[in-house]
Amino acid sequence: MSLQIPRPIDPSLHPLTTGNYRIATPAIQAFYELVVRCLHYRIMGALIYGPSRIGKTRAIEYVRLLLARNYPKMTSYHAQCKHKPRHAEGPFLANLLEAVGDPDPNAGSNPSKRLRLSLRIREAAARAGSGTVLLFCDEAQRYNENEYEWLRDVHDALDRQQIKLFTFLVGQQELLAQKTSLQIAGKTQIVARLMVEELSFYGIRNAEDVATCLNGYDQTAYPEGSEWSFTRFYIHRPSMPGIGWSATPTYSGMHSRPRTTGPTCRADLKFRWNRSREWSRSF
Amino acid sequence: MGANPIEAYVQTKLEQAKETRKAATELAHAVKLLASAPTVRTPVGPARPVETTVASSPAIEAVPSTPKVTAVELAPRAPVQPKKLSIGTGQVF
Repeated sequence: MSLQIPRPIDPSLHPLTTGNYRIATPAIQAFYELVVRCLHYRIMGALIYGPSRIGKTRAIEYVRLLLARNYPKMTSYHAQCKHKPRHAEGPFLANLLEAVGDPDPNAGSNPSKRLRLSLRIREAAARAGSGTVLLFCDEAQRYNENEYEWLRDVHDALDRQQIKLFTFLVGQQELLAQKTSLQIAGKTQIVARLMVEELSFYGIRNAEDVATCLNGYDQTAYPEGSEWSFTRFYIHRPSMPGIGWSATPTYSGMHSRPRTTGPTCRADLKFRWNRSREWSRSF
Repeated sequence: MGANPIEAYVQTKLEQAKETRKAATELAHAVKLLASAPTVRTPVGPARPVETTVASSPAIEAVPSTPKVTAVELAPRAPVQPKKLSIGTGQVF
């Protein structure tokens, strides 16, 4: 990165440095489409399952950001299900209260927690101006049957107050097994409410997915609306012969060179940036 | 070439171990290494270039020559085009 070229912001404040950014992937698009489909057809619950470390939690964050932009009147929450040796209603409600921003989630008895949860969600929905609330439950495979029943109670309580709660259970493949076992056990009240639709989440599957992710670095600009794409900010002009860049260097363009491995993370970008700096020095 | 060379090596050493102490030691060493090796098979790499050996004719046998090896280069891959996503390309928060 040439320091002589003026940049719109200090490099230490750039999202790639701070980590405050998310790049779109085909899997996130599938997730978002599922959410929109559920909202459109009033499907109250869906499950999204996939192996660990493929970006499910980041996908929730991306979808929430996009929903806030496209549906500003809708409220969404991200509940992180915690591992608990014993499943009790108090900690379950406290976890949801924490997700909805309650200042003291552990305070009070279970009935008061339940009331407070409904109240917080109702307040947020009223502030946003819509009766639609989305709840993303991450690591939902940790829930057991009791917790699904308590979640159903929350649904029912809000439904009586004209608030539609859409629940998205996100977790590992065990979730699908849980759905099957609940179906076999005849617990249709849970499946029909919380697990109607399902989506198998995936990571990067092929070169096209890699190119799509890298294109995100080329196309996403910061500051927003400026011409400073993430790539341009760090690699201002081509400094290595043979890449065949046009006037604007592209990160995905680098990837399409033969025998170039596919960098997919920020650390790799930094690595390339350092290399680029060395090349700049040598030419 | 179909057999696993590691298995073949272990099998050979197993047979020789009855005869020689050295083979028995090597077998014990190999078994110890294999026990600590990861069980998941690593994927094989990309297809290797096809090597074509051209047999030299008897007429020019007098000239010491190495077998001609022609390496077929990997076909250049077409650049992969990114998919156009309807959810934008990225978000900053």
